[in-house]
Parts: sequence; C-alpha cells; structure tokens
Amino acid sequence: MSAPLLELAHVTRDFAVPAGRLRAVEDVSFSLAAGETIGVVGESGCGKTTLGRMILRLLAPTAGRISFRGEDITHRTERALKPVRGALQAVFQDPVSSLNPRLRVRDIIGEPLVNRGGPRDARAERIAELLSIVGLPGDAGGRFPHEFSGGQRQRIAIARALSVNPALIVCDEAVSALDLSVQAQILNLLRDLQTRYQLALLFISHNLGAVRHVSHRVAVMYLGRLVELAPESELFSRPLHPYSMALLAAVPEPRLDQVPAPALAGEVPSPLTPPAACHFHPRCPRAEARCRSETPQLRPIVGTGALVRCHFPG
Amino acid sequence: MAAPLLALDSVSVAFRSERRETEVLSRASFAMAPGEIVGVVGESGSGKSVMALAIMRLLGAQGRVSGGRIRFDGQEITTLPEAAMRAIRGRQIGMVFQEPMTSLNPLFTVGYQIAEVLAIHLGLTGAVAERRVVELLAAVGIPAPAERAKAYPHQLSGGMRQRVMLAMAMACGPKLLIADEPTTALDVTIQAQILELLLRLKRDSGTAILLITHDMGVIARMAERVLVVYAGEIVEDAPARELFARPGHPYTRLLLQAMPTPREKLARLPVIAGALPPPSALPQGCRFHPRCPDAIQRCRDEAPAAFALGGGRLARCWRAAELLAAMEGVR
Repeated sequence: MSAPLLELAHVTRDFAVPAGRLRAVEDVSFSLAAGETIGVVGESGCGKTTLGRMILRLLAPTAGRISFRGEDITHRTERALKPVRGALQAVFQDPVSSLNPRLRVRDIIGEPLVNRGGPRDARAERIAELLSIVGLPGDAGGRFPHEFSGGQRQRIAIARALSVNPALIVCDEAVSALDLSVQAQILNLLRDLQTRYQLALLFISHNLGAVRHVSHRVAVMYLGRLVELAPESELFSRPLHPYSMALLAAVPEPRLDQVPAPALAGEVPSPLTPPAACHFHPRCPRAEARCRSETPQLRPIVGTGALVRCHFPG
Repeated sequence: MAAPLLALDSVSVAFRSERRETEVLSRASFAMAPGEIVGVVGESGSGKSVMALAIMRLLGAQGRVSGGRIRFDGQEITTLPEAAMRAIRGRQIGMVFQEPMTSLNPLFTVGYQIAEVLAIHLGLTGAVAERRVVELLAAVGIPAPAERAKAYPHQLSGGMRQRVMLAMAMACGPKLLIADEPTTALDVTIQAQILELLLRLKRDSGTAILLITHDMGVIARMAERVLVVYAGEIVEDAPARELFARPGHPYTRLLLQAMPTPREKLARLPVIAGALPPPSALPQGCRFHPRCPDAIQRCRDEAPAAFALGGGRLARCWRAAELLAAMEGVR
C-alpha cells in the first residue's frame, strides 16, 4: 500500500462539561488509503461522530496527531487548513437541515466551486455534470431543496460534496433517515462514486447492514475507544471482540430461521463515568478480574487481519 | 379465527388541509385475534401510523374516519361517544410511540405519571397505587424501581424511558397494545432488550400487540402475522412464515431484498425505483405499478382488489397468484 491518505495517531478528544471532563474519543489510531472505505459503528455516545468531526477538522483533537496526505493538520489554523478543505468533504444524516432552504440547488452545489473561483460558464457546466453523476434530473438546478424527496435531497448533498473533487468524504449517518427503498439507491450510488473517483469514505453509521455493504474495513467503537478494526468480511463473519459479537447478534434479520441471541444486559454507561480498565467489562459475558484492573490495548490477533482491544478475544 | 379482538372493515381516513380533503388510508380491512402479534410494515408516509391513530380515535381536528367500521372486543368503536372511548383508551388499549421523551411530561416524576393512570382508570390511590407503580416498573425490567419511580424523564436513558412508557401502557392490563416504532430511536442492543420485553409481556399477560415498524428485521423477530402497507393501502396480509418464505406482493418481495443485512455482502443492493407517491397524487390503477418490475397493462388501468392466495394470505396484486406459482416452479 502506498502512503495512507489519512492517518490518525493516538487521537483523543475531551469536552469540558459542568460535571467535569468527558472523554469522547480516546487514543484512536488507524489509517485510511485512497479509495478505501472504513465503516465506523457503535451505539450512541461511542464517539463516532466526534471522530468524524475531528477528521474534517471541524474540531481539533485534545491529544494525538491527524495527518492528511502526509501533512500534519492536527493544529492547523483555519487559514492554513484552506488548501485541504476541498479535499475533505462531508454528507450528514439530515439533508433538510444541512441544505440551505433559500438557495436553489445549483447554488447549493456550486457554493464550494464559487469559493474556489474560476469562470462562471465552467461552473454551470460542472453543476450540470454533477447533477447527472448523482442521478438528479437536469432541471433540478433551478429548484429549491423542499421540492425534493429525502433521497433526492441526499443526492444534492452528495453532489455538493463531490463538486470540488474531494479525496475523502465523511458520511455521518448519511442513509439513516431514508426509507429502505431509497436507502438502497443511495448506498449503491456511494459505492459507484467511490470506484469511479477513487474516493476514500469514512462511513459512520449505526446500521450494520449498510456498513457491510459499503465498507472495506470496519471500526467498532465503544465509549470512545476503538475496540475492533477488521476487514469487513472478517468482522461480519467472525467478530473477535465480545462487544462486536453482541452488536451483530442484536440486529434482527428479515428472516425467520434466525435464533435470537439473548440480549446484551445493561445499558451503555455514561461517558462521564466510564467503567475502569476495559470499558465493556460490566456488560461482557466473559469478563474476568483482569478486565476490571488492566486496560486492554488494541493489538493484532494472529492468524487474522483484525486489531482487537480485548484480553480474551475470539 | 375465534371472535376477533380487533376488526377493521374497509376503513378509510381523510385529512383536511385548507379546503381540500385527502384520503391517506383507503379501505383497510383486517382482523386480529386476542393475544396475537400483528406487525404493520411500510415506509414513512404509507399510512401505517394513521391506521393506529384511527383505531385509537386520535386523528385530531384535521383527520376523520371517512368510511368503514372499527370493532374492538365486540363493540363498534367508530361511532362511540368520546367519553366512552376515553374509558377504552389507556385501559383496554395501551399505546407506546417512538419517542418516549415527547410522550412523558417532563415536569412530573415517572412514578407520578404512572400513578395518574392507575387513579384515572382503576381508582387506585395512596400506598396501594405506590406499591403498584413499583411492581409495574419492576415488571418492565427497571432496576431499583422504587428509586427510579422518583426520577424525572430526563434523568433516564432512552431505553429506560421506553420501559416506563410500557409500564404505563400495561398498567391497566390492556387487551391490546399498539406500539408505533417503539424501538426506532433506540440503539440496537437496547432494541433487542425492548423486543424481548414485549414478547414477555405478551406471553405473561396475553396482550395482543399491533406493532408498527419500518424494519423488516423487527417484523421477522416479533410478528405472527404481517400487514404490508403501501400508499395508503394494505397490499399484503399474511402469516409471517408465509410472507418471509414467499412474499406474495411484488412490493413485499422488493422491500425484503432492499434491506442490507450484515450477514452477506452483495455486489449491488436491489432497489425499488422511484419514490412513494404522495396521497394527493396517486397513480391510476394499482398504486404500486409505476415502481413495479412485474407491472402489465392491466395494472396501469385497473386497481386490484385484495385477492386470497391460500394459506391465510391476501395480496392486492393482479399477478400475485401467477408470480407465486412461478416462484414455486423455480424451487
């Protein structure tokens, strides 16, 4: 593999809250290659959205380093970030609140192009091209976001992200608000675009089925920590962290021959007061004394392509 | 079926806006037995929630049942005076919705809110009511129920709030529980817990459950019988084992295929072309025909009735019997 497009090394982010300090992301390291998709899964409060916002540099890490195309962007000022802003784009969950309702679609899609300068004619041509790439009708440019369905609005958001030829798109719950029939259309579109433009995607979602469909590798997070990072085929066929196993077992399948596993007991503890040592130990069916006293580190598991943060994986 | 607990006979619902009235549910008919779990599946805007609100008579000032009859426990409730309906709602029919935070009053403790239900419907007060509240919270799996009764809704997690809603809905031992997307806002491990709890409540108390969801996985886990709703119509009504083995309506089949599952990775997800039409602009003929890969001329011209296909199932499709037979042939 050539030099990674994106590299995170020991990235941590704390938030000051009235009750003290909330560690939203703790010591996360991984790299993402051009044209690769990493899916990030986990339940509310696991830090997946904060992670995405740091990669977009909408937030700066409290500790650790983020490199993009080999350059350290961890603490760059807004001005110094400008050259990489276009290469880092985002698509969010709710296309209603992320699209300006007063702008016509062509102005929404063209906004990043205007920021970049260039002749007006070329811009109009590019907008027409983008509409066709994401499968919107040619006359969509003159209309307003509210005239479109949820799926079409998500296509508008994708067209805007694509307009400046990004290298990486962070998709944060990008299909979660969509109905099933439309969700499948958008997932297929994302995969097509990725192949066509060698895009890297960070696909953040709680929907494990959607994640499997678009990802090459999958990162599982629990209470701010990366607990497993594995190739898609391995994670879904043989999860190694007990939390990954529980998460997969909890997804109800649209068929009747499944034997439902007993539900994982308890709830995700508050990130304000995470359990000591392994954060997962109070809910873990195989926890032992060591899990309560010694924090496991993310380590490669021999004979697999997986990295797992567990004393007793497999 | 023994005498049904709930029966809808050709029920239509219309909503008024400005001067126009739009039909959002058309001629819905089905019956459910005591203790049965019936799943209602459909996309947003399909009319599945409106059906539940019509049963509860909670359509608001803009909506009305514009046709048909609803019978509950042997009694026609469509025309019941509001006072009589209030005695049924909450006591004989319980309900839970997607977002428990908006259904709970933030100013009162959850114990107080459950006690209120007990006082209104069962006349329980004082220490008796207090004891019952703690029992109910324990029955829905809330740890330290006596302490949690004193908590305000915001002090509880989403999963715990949904358990409180279930405790409240079950407080009077209803014959029917209507659950509208009860786990959609919850994390998947918490969803698994709430689904387990619903199955246990049904088993222990014999409550029938009308479970409304967009998630075919939840339907497979829970439902004995399934209603598939599309553009204001019930397009399929089938026992779950029939429906998942051999979907009778093309829409059901496509819906099942379009769901990405973590169990397998496909080169491409099958999609349903286009989008759900709004109730104000329904296509002629079969409402699904513009998106249906199996549509023929007749589907464009003429709206199909709900045809019986054997095995206790109905499908609103001209070609369902033929397509099912072809599926049999392949197997």
